[in-house]
Amino acid sequence: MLAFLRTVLSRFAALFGGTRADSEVDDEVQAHLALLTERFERQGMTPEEAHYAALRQFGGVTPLREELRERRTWPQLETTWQDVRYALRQLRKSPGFTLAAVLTLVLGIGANSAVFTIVNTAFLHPLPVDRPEQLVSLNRGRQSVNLSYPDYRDFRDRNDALSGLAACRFMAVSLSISSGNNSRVWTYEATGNYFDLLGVKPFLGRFFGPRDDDRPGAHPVAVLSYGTWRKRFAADPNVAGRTVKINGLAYTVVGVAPQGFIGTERILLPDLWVPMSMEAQIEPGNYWLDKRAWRNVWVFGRLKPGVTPGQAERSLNQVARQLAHDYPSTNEGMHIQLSPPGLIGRAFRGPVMAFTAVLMGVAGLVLLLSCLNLAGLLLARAADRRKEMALRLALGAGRMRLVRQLLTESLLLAVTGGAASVLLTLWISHACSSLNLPFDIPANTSLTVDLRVLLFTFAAALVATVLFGLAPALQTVKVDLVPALKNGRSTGRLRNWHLRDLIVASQIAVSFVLLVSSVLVLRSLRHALDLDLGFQPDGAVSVSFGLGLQGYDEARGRAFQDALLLKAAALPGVRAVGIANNVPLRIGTDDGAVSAVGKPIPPISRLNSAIAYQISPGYLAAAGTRLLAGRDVDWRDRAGAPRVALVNRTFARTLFPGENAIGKRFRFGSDPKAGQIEIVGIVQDGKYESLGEDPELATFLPLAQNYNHWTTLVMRTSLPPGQATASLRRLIAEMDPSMPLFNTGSLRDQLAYPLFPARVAAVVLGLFGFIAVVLAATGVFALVAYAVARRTREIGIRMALGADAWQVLGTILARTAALSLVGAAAGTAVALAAGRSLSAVLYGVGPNDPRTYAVALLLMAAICALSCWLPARRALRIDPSRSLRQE
Amino acid sequence: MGQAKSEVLQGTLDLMVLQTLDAMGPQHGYGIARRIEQLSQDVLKLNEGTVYAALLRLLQNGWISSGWGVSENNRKARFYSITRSGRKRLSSETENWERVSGAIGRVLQAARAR
Repeated sequence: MLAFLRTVLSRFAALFGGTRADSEVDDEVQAHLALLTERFERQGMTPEEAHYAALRQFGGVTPLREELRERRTWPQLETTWQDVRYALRQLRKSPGFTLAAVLTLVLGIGANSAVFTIVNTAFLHPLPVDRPEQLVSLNRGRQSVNLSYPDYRDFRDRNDALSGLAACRFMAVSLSISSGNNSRVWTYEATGNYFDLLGVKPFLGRFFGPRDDDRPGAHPVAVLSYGTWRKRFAADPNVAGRTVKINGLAYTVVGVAPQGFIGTERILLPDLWVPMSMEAQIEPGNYWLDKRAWRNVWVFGRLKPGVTPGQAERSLNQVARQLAHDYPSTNEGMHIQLSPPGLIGRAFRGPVMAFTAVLMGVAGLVLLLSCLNLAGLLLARAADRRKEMALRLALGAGRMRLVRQLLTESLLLAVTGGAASVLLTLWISHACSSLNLPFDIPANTSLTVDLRVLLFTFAAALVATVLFGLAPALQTVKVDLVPALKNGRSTGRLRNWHLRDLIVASQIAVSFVLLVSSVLVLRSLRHALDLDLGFQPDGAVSVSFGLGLQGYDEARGRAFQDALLLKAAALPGVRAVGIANNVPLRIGTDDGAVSAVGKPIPPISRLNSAIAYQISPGYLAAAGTRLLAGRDVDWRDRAGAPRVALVNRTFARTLFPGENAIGKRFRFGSDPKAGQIEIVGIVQDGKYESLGEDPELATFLPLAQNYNHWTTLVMRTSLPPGQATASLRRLIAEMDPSMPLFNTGSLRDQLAYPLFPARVAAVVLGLFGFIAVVLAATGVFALVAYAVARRTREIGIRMALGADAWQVLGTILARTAALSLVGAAAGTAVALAAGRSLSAVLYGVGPNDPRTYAVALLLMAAICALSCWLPARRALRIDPSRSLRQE
Repeated sequence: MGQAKSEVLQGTLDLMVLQTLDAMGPQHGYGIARRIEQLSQDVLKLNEGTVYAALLRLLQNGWISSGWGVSENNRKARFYSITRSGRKRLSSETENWERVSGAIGRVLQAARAR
């Protein structure tokens, strides 16, 4: 073993410091030659004769030296090193080519590592908790991740597959550290076993445990997130034991969570954790810990060792069946599905997966495109190096040796491109982490760049090398020696051309696919912007706050809302003003099952669900929602008066098909004894939860009959939005200086949240489409420019023989045009086949939208024409007399 | 093709160098070349440089070792000596050589007899 190590070390030493070993050999050889010479002199030769005789007898000194050198080192390694140095020299000699190649690669590889970073952050990177692979998230059926708290307790106590089951809920609260200074922050309400189950250790102090979660309202304690501790508590080392006020109630800070721990959901950034038992204090007027019908908590558990998710699912569904049997009115048809935690169960995971799949596909296409581009570049370069290759072959270089040399060049390019891509990815993730997302909920946007991303990037670089490097390298060494060395034209001109043609056609095909997808998302974004939302976002502003979070009870809250309405109506420029608990297309809609009075009641699982808003008189006018029939809510609809509601058209048509819904009654839930509500008006349909949703049922209830402490004031005004918002802020500050506001500004600006997915899709796919167009344009440009350069002589002859400009253009462009057509046709076929995967991010545009294809085709044609123009002009300016004399 | 021929030569040259070192003790390259020349009675025409290639091969296999000394004409010279594993190798290779050359000899003789 030692001997082996010594050999390895000596070989390494020899590899890089070869000169010393060489000089020792020289000494030895010189000594030998001297002795031989002496011997021949003794035999009677002249010194000169003796010297030559000795050299003859010894044999070649130089070949020997080389042989010894090769033996001493690893010849493979040595030649690789040689190849690298040679490749570096070659690349340095043509900086334009090198720059173009590296940039192309950075676009291709960088796009992929950026997308992979997202995948890594969203799916691959393990949560910073103990044995994250054992954690599972519970989903009710396909769609919802919310369970009721009583159901959670039953699952926790009755299943036999999980070593623990915890529940949490993400809520906005009002935090006051010093008196009078309220800020809106987000907390997890978490069960007592939450931290234990996740297996995290507090950074400071302690976490709360089951004993802090035993009785409702008994333990006002809070755990700070690391970020909040740094930001709001100035990293106070003695923070444990300090008292803060949450929603006006004093809480004791018991500890600080470790850095990087943000709970189980990767995309949410909590500021605090409080025990679930404080629910009634965290959500004033909304107590649900004992209500099986209120599904409000996210539930996750840890699998017992050796239990598979499938077994756990079966065990949980046994419990679900018992619950459905025991509580049919709330739990009928309940089915539990497990999913990995991190993206709010399956609710979010599905769309994120669909979107990242699209991104991966598109980024893969961009990589393919940049590889094709590089292959084209390398082929052109290969043709220029035919003479060099032929010379080296003639001097005895092996063809495989030359291929290796050329591949080394490609690999060097790929590694450089890979390294630059890593830098680009780091930069992107840095930019992302300081991104301001257009939602009120604090979202975690920091991307995780780790070893996985690095490995992926270099794997992509390696694949790219093989993709773009091998074919041109093989082509290069396949030269005919004689014509190449004679500086002649390659006789088999077409041989070089087939591969290049294929490359350009596929380039056009791939970029056409990308172009179609980006035109699709851009058109869909325009569609989304023009959608009829069911309200008028222009010319109105809104502010939101939670009265309960500031300690207002219902009576004081109602008084505040009424007073605010009166004062706001007196502001200058106001056309209409109203209050609602929430406006459409914001996070946090309420919905409930509804059934028509006087008709057979369907089973629970078939009940229609309607989104419910509580509104004051004037809200419809302020929001710009059209009343289609009947009347608006007004001051007659007080508490105690007969219960009334407005419904949207879909509601009316679904519950009362073919009838006039006005005057009809419905109820929430299916209990025949539940309070009946009379429909007094029908309003237009709108979008409520997302822009892409199908028409949904919605109902608007008078706020006076259904108090809600969540308050959104909507004001339609002739003043600029900034000015109107400022006057509202002042107004509210006069009434309660400590009231934290959120979602302030014009309704148009606040559409940023529902438009966010469409915007992201448009920006990303638009960017990819742009890259594709640039790459395709350079590809076509290179093809035509190269054709012109190679055929200068031919064109010269033709012109000398009297060809006119059009004929010359014809020879140059006919091929390109044909290739473009073939490429576009192939691209259309692929895009039509792949379009369906895009439908997840499209609004109001079908994936096979013919206008999109028309636009993409036109764009493609324009790009091809543009990139032909410069080289074609050069062809026209060829001077026959000069071009014929050139060689 | 040239490779196949030189391989045979290499093998036999390595064997001769090993035998020389075994018989004569530590030697430098020149000495080894003289000894082979003398014993083969000018039948084998040897490029003496190839001795050094053989020496490096043997060194790398651990069959000989080397050290610096002073030659007859007071020059610094590298002296090579056979190691224990070299002796083992020599005896097994010699045996092998005798068996193979005997076999070849018999085959050639039989061919001549026909």
